[in-house]
Amino acid sequence: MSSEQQEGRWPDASIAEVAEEPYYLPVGDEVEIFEAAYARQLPVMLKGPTGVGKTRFLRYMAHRLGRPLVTVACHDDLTASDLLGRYLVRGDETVWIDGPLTHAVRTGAICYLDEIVEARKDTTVVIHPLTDDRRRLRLEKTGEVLVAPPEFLLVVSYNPGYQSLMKNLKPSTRQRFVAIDFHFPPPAIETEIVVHETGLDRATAAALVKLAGLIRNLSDSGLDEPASTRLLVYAGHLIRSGVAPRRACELAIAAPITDDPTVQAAVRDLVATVFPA
Amino acid sequence: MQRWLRRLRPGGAATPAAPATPATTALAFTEVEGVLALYVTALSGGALRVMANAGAARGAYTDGRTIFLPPQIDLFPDPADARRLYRVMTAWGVLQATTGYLNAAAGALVDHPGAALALYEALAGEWLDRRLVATWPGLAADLTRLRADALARRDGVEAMTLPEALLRALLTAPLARPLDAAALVEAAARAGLDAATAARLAAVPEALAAPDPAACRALALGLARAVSSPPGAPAPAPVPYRARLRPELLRRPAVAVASEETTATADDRDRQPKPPRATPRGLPIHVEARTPEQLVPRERRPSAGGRQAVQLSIGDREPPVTFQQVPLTAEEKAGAELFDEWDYLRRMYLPEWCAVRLRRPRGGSTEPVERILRQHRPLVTRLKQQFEALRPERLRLTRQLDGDELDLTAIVEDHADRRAGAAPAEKLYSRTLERERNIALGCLVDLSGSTGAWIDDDPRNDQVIEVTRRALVFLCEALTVLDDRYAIFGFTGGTRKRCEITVVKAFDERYGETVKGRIAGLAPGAYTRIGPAVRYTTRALLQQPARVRLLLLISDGRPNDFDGYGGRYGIEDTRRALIEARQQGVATFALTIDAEARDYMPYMFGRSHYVVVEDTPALAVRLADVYRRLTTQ
Repeated sequence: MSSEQQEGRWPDASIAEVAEEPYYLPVGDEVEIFEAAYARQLPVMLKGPTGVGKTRFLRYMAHRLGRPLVTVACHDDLTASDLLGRYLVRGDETVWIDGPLTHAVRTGAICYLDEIVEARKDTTVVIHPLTDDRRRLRLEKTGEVLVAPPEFLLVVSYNPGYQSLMKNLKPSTRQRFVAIDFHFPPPAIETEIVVHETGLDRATAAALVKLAGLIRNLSDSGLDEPASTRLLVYAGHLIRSGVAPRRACELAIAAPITDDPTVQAAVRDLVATVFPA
Repeated sequence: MQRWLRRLRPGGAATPAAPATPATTALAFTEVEGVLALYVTALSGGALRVMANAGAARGAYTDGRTIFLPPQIDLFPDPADARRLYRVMTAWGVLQATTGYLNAAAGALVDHPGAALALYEALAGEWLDRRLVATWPGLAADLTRLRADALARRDGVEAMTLPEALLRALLTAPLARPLDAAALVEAAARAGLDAATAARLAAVPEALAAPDPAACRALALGLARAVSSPPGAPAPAPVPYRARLRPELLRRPAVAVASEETTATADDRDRQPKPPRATPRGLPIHVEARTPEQLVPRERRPSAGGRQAVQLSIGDREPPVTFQQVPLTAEEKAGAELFDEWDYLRRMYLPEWCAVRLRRPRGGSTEPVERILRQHRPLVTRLKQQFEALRPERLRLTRQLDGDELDLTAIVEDHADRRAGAAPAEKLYSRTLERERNIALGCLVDLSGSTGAWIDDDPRNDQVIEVTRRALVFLCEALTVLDDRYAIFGFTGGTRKRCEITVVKAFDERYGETVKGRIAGLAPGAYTRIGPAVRYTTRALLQQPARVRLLLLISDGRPNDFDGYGGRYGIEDTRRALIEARQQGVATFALTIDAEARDYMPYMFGRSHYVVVEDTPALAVRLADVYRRLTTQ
């Protein structure tokens, strides 16, 4: 069965050969660390807030390392079978279909479990045997035990700002990964990213970044998620399409980050402080 | 803009047909306080806060930690203009406190009131206007209007002194263009300045364009020496949007200046939390030297407005606990539960160090609680609806690829379909999703003396404890729709020998008349020894059968007790108590109304495990909101 057919069976996952180099501007030594972890077959955890560039980084690394990338968007209905695979009834017979994780192990791909806290804890446990030095995956239903090839790598992402206690990563899971911390990039780099992604002029991009810096100062005043680089890029695109900067920021930054009317009003004031009408 | 100017200059040449002075509408600070509190936090990186103060009625001012704003603004017909003025005042105050402006002023002007101060304010104010526009260009339009307004309001100022003449010449100049030296020299000459001194004004444009206030300061002080400064001269009329300089507040020499770059990023807080500095955050202009061992209890708003505020005098302090290694006596232990305390200086636990006793809750009439419910009925209804969404659900998912059970309906249907020649179905299973909650909450409420203070020290406001009371009522009401087990403990104390826990609601108690009476009877106590209270609550939580255990602290200030529990010592013990809790599987989270909490909260609770409520009255709703967010599946 080809990859594409396989993928059709995965409602929550996708598989991609990253043919073209994705744009990624390193902030620190994350590229070297990732390469070292890959070479040593150490599972990697990408830690950081939403929209900070974790997924982009991983696509960049998959391209660099020349491996296909299997991405699973985790959610609370995701079962172990959704990851490992299952028998499907086809006519009068049953057919085994690999899940995305099994597929990645068989083909030596990079398997990315995005937002792993969203998955139920009993689901998360299936990755445990893959993350120690045996690197094995047991498929109880078929009786197979797969040993991951050296090319295989397990990567998870995790947003520590997530404040629900019901969604915390168990220490026994956390401690199986090399964690690379992602912060919002320094202003100069973040400006560069916004310019590259949107084609915006540097001054406006810098103003967006300045605004984000002000908003991020509110992160422990009850803002659920700070203004992410991704939202700056969205705002930048709107500005490029002719939307007035203040309006673009209200739509792409102020409205998405909070529902609290007071915080909204304060963020709008910040927008009006940075951007002229 | 034109219309705005016209309104501001009634009868001016531009508007012969304009009506006489239009009626103004007052805007109270309290209406904008919530937004401004967040605004100033964002602009200053949490270093500054805003507060209304009657002393600021004629102009805002700052002491380097707080920007004091007028209690109301009654200058404009349209309240939107007053809102803009509040915003510009705040931004102006932030730059004044963060750019070195105050430091430059503090050094030399304390002993030069009168004309020298006015001259300095005119020049440095212009410098700051230009910095403001360079830093936050979005404010340029508002600032330009306010400059025109300020100029219009000076029509009544009679004496054309040198500072006044300069100020007017500067306010007339457009912000977008560099200053014209010749115009300034001319204005000074008209005000009677001798030619040699006036010539110095040629340097003004350059000095005022520099990002560093040093050149402006040197120039202003040089000129100040040249102007006579009669001691009894009347204070010049203020420029409404500019924070005035209050040299008496800046008497202490400045230590260092935080630059715009260092104050305005969240970046440093993203790093691992560090032990807090002994001195509170804020800009180091008006800070008193404090060391961890100095045991000045730092209640947030001591005595001033508080009904029950504790008098914090030096005399009633005991020597620091670390110098007095005396175990509790049998008498002191009698009837108490004993808890260890962490001594960070010795890196060891002091065994059985704190005696915790239960304080009989002051029960009584439930009327105060019923009144809160009457006054906030729609809000309580909304909270309940939100909490209903948290109810555990059992969801049977049918037609699944895989599952615990066969989906009979699907199989029968599939059988029929296949008989009919249709393609066979694949999804023949069903499964049940269990989303149990099984949560135990220990709510720990700071009842220290400072909770008796009025919000912002203004007796027209509620006391802090009143807001806490409201927060508890809202939480309890919202929790009536869930089965979560919860307890509410108040804590206070006075030395390790008398730590007190008030059981407002025990885990196995129902929220009813008795509990309502106790919430109504909550009253401020003395000090804030958080460590033993955390340990008590942790132990109580561990006795509850639950999958998730949460300790939620509601606090209004840093740990503090008068036997050496202030400063670093108290913070370290509290931190240790919280680590103990987390190691035993109790999650910890805090809500605080202390504007300086960012100094120590990350160190005690960890990043993103606390919330600073900038606007105290908002605490009432935030408690329930935070709990909901923490326990959303």
